[in-house]
Amino acid sequence: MSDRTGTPLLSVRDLRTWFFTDQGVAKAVDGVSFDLAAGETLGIVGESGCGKTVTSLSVLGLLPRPPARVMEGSSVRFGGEELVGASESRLRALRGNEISMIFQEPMSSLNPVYKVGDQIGEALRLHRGMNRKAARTETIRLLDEVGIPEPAQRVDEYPHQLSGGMRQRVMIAMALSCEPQLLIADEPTTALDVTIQAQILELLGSLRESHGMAVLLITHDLGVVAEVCDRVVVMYAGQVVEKGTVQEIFAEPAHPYTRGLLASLPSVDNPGLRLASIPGTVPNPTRWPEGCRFMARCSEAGEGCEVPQALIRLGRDDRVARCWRVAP
Amino acid sequence: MSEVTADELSVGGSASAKGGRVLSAVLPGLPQLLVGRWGAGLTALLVWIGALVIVATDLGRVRAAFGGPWDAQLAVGGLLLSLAATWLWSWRDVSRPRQHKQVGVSQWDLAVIAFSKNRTAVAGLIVIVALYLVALLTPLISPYDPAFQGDLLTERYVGLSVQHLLGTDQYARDVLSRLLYGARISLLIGFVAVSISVTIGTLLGAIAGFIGGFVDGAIMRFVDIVISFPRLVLLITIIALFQPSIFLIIAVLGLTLWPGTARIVRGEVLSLREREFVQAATALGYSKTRIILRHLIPNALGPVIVAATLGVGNTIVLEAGLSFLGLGVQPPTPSWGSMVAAGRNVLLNAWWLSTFPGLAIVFTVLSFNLVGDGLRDALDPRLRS
Repeated sequence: MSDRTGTPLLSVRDLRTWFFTDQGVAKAVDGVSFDLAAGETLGIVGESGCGKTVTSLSVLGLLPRPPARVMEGSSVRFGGEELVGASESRLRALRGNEISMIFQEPMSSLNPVYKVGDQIGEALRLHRGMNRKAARTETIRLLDEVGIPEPAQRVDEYPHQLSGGMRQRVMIAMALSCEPQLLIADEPTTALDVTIQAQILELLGSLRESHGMAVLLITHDLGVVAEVCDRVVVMYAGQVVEKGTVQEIFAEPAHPYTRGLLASLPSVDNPGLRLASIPGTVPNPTRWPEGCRFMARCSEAGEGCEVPQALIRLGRDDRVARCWRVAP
Repeated sequence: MSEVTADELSVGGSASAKGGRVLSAVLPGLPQLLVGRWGAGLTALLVWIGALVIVATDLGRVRAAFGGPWDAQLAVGGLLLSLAATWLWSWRDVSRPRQHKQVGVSQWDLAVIAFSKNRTAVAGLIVIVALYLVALLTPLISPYDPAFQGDLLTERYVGLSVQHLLGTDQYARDVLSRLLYGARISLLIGFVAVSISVTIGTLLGAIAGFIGGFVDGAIMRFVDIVISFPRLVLLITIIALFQPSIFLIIAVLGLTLWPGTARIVRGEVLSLREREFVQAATALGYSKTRIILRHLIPNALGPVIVAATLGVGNTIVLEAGLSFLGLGVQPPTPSWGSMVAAGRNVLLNAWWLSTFPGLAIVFTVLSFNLVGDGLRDALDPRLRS
């Protein structure tokens, strides 16, 4: 469904982001690889604490060092350019311009002391060299584009005067202001109620098409993934456990963890059915289990699971699962 | 907790516009006072009447001050400016229909509304404004030159009288005049020293809090060192080493008071930098300098303003203490602290010498503290009632 010719826009190889803390080394992201083509939407799914957010922040180099460190051998290539180890000034030039990010909590991701228009305008003036007046006109246009009613008035509102959904739209407008090629959306709808969620997802989808940008969508909600993504990366305990297209993941999930996530979704066909849940929680990242990291919670665990699991190809290079049972 | 409604944003409502204008043209401030906005109204009215009285009673002196020394010229400028500003403000305020402000109500607007409901704090603010005006206009209103000595045989220790409203001192100088000139010293030192310390403290605190790590450690250990010096001993030592002058005192006070601000700002920044808007700013590619100056410091400013206001009061007390010990501003320049000291030995015979400068210190510091407390309540949404 997406065009995957030539080099991908974003290529993450063996990304390992470790946190060196007093309690030990937390291997929050432990060898993650994926590709994202221009114009494509890739979803990263998983429970809380499985490393999704750290992965996305590592791409932009936004994690505080120390305690976080992107380990040797990790590679994040954006448009062919290596970002791991790139200078802070180079990263700064990319941020906002080429890669933008929106965050989970729209309540706190806008600066409370400035009018929303001034905040979008700041990005425009800084990155696109607009003057005050041009920036204001462009800001109003952007607010209109992200579906804010009466943009000419809203531009002078302060964040606390807007609802959560409106603020998320403002954040999206800010992220779009410099026409980035890649938008990283970290749980953009988690803090919103369901009707607003659908609107925001629809907005993201239509903006992606009109601007031709790629979207890296971080979420724990498979419903969101089904709605907007082309391909999916399922993460568990700092590792990729399964990759595939949306159709593949939903139709024939290969990894028990993916099946567990799917089983915990409410079903339209059997509305009376009790929802399944995966027992237990994600293990402590300072002490990942030796063998299969999912074994303790896996309903199908048995002999052969106590050794480290490798990703096994299921046909294509980007259709893999980390479970020995799927081996053909 | 009462919600601030859009209605209250247009404080007072409209006095009938036409009558209001006529009233405003003659007595600016009165229309506002009549509709219950007593804080703004009273300030404007007092400034207007006070300034007019000066012009009416002492026009010759105002004229002479034009060609006088720079502080006299400044006083004339201040007089004209406050007349014009008061009149224009009241006129515009009355003529313009007060629209209900609904779009773009900032947190500062909300704080101003909360503050204006705090009567004691507004009263304190009026006193402070009046004090600074008096200090500015001193060359025009003081009855005598502060250094002018009367007849030493007959005019020493004269009690309260028409010629000397607050009596005279041991050198037959007018106490009221010296009190007025002393206000300039106290208020100037308080204001400038706190400005210096707040600037240094805010910048260092924000840098320490945002950068963290080694920079944070270095700055905060420096803060610990500065704070661990007994301030008074340090002041006395430095003043003993150099010639005491007003600039030295301002510099010493300003350079020793900042650690408190630095700690407050660092604490604020530590919690602010975890907020997502800071991460969002980084994700938009803003530089560290921009994030500190434009995104962190404005958000940390509330507690700084409170601390600064209280700090002015403290600094005035500190300066009075130094002057009392003879280490502050040197004679013959009048200062409240040295006036209290001078009257100390004759308290039973000439009580007015120490009493009035003492009262001046008390009321000034009290006003700053009231305003500081009011600001604290107004700037913290949790304390707004």
